[in-house]
Amino acid sequence: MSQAGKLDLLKGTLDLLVLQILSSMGEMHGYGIARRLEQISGDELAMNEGTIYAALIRLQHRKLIKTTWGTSENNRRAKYYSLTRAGEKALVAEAATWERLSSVIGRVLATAGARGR
Amino acid sequence: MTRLEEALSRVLAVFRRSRLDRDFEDELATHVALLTEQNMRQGMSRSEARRRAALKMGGLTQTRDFHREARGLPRLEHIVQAGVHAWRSWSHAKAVAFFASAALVVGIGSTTAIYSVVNAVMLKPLPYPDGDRFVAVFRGNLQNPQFYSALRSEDTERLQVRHRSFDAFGWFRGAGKNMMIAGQPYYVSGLAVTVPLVQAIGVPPAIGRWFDDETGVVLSNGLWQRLGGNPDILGQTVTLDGQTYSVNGVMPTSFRLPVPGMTGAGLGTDVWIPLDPRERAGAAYFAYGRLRPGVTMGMADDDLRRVAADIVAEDGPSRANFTARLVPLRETVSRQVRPTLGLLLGAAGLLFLITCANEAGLLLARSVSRAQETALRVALGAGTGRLIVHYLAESLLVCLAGAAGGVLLSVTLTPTIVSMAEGFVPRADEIAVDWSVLAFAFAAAVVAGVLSSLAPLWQALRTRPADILGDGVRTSASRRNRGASHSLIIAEIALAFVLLAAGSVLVAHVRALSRLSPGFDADGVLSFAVSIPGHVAADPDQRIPLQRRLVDAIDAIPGVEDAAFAQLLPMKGCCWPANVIPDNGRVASNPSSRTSLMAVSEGYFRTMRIPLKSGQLFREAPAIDESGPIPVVVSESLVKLYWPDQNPLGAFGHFDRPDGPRFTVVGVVADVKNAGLDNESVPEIYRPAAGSRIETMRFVVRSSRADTSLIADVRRHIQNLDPTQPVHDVELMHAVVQKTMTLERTVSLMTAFFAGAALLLAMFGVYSVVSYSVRQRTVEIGMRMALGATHRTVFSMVVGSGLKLAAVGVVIGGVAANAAVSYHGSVFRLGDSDYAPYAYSTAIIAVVVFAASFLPAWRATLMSPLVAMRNRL
Repeated sequence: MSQAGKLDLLKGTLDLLVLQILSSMGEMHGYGIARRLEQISGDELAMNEGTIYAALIRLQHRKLIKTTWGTSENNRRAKYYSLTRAGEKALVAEAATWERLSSVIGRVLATAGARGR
Repeated sequence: MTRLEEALSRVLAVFRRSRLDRDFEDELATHVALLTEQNMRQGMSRSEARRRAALKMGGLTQTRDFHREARGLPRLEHIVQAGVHAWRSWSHAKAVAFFASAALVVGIGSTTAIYSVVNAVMLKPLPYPDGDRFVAVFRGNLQNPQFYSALRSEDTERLQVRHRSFDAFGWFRGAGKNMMIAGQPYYVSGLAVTVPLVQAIGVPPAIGRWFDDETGVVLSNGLWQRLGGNPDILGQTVTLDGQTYSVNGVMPTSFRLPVPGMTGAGLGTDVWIPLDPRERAGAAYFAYGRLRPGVTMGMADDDLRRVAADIVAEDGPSRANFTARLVPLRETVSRQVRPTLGLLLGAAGLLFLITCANEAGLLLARSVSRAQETALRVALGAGTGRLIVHYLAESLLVCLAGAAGGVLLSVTLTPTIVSMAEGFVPRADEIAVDWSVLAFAFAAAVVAGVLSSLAPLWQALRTRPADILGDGVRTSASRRNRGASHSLIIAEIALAFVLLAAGSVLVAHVRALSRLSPGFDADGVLSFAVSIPGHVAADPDQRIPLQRRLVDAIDAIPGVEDAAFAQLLPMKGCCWPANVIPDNGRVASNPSSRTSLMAVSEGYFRTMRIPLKSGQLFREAPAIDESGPIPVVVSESLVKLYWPDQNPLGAFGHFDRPDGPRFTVVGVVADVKNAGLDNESVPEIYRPAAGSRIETMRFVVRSSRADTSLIADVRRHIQNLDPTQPVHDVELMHAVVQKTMTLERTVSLMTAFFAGAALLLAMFGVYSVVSYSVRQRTVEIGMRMALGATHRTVFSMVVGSGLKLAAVGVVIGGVAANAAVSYHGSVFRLGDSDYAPYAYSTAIIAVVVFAASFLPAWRATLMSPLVAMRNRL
């Protein structure tokens, strides 16, 4: 039960991260996305790789990414994901929202600190 | 738009489940393989590499779960899954499932059957376009708001001209006719309707069209079928009471113009003939209007009152109390049966609740025996939501099956109810299983499902897995469980008691009614009607000899002791109103009291064996004596009304108005129950038939012979007199009296049926609870027996536990029953009932509970103490 609760908090942001990775790296499969995420975040994100697939499905439903089947490095069948036009637009919008949100939160938290906590 | 697209993809994903599952397996396998290879490159063994890879994924099963949840409609899939599980788990307990559904079939079926009647009679809009805008206009009495009666045509004419609320208005009256078609006489019941009204009703004939002048008539579908059902009938001439008309059209089946006050569906109309608006036939007209759009009932009511006040101003003080009243047409049609239907619906509802309680008990028992499974589920993380869905699905599955069976049951039950209440159910042919009824059955199933899953659900939510998985079912299936199932049984018994008590009261009431004397001797009397055309009835020189010939012809039939006729049969609707103004100036103290007028032939009192109390009966005069006062015979209640402290014999008075026809009282007879067996007699005044313009003579013939041969002779003798004269409405007087109790009898039978079903269910419930508790207390019983308790002690202990439950149930039920009976007693004027019904019901319940506890108690005594004590559940 509690596992699901923790995931909820990250849900929206994981989607955003995946979009960003696909935008910067182009077409990738799930493993690649996981590795890239691990690389960039410096392994600070404590999460299960499997949840990436849930994020990918959600993005698929929203028509922000599209898929093709291909062959992976180890000659196995793998699905490759890439951004759609709508996905690129959504990425820009959601990244901007995230920026605004984090700066507002930052400002509020800064004022709380000023009172000598 | 994206929301919609997303929803659509989710729905599609549900359908492509297996394909998507396979695809994801491939994807997942690839990912895990890549991870494994990476790990192996770092030096781990293959199996270690694989394990680490799975860990990094976060668990393969969980990944698959998240993927599936993100992909489809998880809620829906849970529900479907719950449904499939429920089906599977019931298939392991087919007997229980069958019994539960059977009980629900009875519970839901009875309620649905009554609802389908209620729906057609009260809820569905009338089958005319804009049916809900139609209202019926009645004559009212300013002093008595409950008074509704027919209008005079002078009034309807003026109403029509002066109203401001209707966009369609017309009036009609009953008009029975002797019809000659193809040489055969028939008696047909008809309605004479003003032309604008039929046009406004908006229901066109199935073939042909409505009449637009005085020469056309329209036939009912039923009559048309009886005459051969040939479309060539259009344009054919038909003779009604000697007048020729041509057939303009035939109505579709089930069309009728409801006649307010007459609930008899059997009074279906055969023909509609045009009514001349200038006709003046007294106060016999009913008017309908269609409210103009935007006009409310209140506005129209005020409007008509205003017109009525104008009429009173114009006509003078003789019409002082006259006013006009409105009732929505749909209501007038159902007014008389409404309380009865309410009663039946209530009784069926009680049965439904009992079925739910029964079902809940069953589910509770099942959940106890599956407590371990439930504990496991909870331990494995099933949330409240999942549990609720799970129990609901199980319960709903059985309830929906029960509802399906219930609909079928109601299809068979409803016609039975309607035929029992024959003639008293209006709009009977509109009763059918339509969408509304199906929706009701479905809703009932859902309610039943929710109600009955409450108990086991509540239990499951309070389960602590550790308790059950550790010690086993025995300890935790303890006080709490027993409390729940005991409460259910007590509830069942209480409800069953209410039904039983109500049923007993009704049955006793019907029994008492049938023992009441109607005031005349109905046994051995056959009644039938002979109708003559209006113009013949109006002419004394034609009608009096005709009446004499008819009576003589019937008297001549061998086996006939007495024969007579009257204008109305007693107890077949009341009454012809009379205004009596005695010379002594007395007026009725109660302005709403009425007096009944009966025009009877000379032999009437003798034929009906109505006892003469004083004075003498009038003798048939050879001709009307225009000069002298009319000799009348009065009933005892009329004497109490107008001559309470003087001898009425020889008193004089006037009919209708102070200067109306003069009468003198020659005799006093006993009261006849003309307003029904359980009502006060309406004071009655009898006058000789010769002086009255009677169109329909209701004959009563006393004879010892069976009726079919007698009526054949009657027809023959009358045909000899006049081959064109039909005889109609043949009935045994005994049956007429019985018919007045039809509604009561129907309700009492139905309630008894419900009570019987309730008892059966309660019996089963008691049986399961008692046998369960015996099983629970096996060890205790074994110990008692080992310590010296006899068989009888054990037996009485077990039976006693059952009876204790029954006692609580009876007490609760008694309180509820008292309230219910006194509330509904007003419907049938039951009066103060004594305690006999309650005593009977208690005794019946005690017997039933004893019988139900018998088997488990007996089995308890058969237990060997040693085995019992070693028993572990």
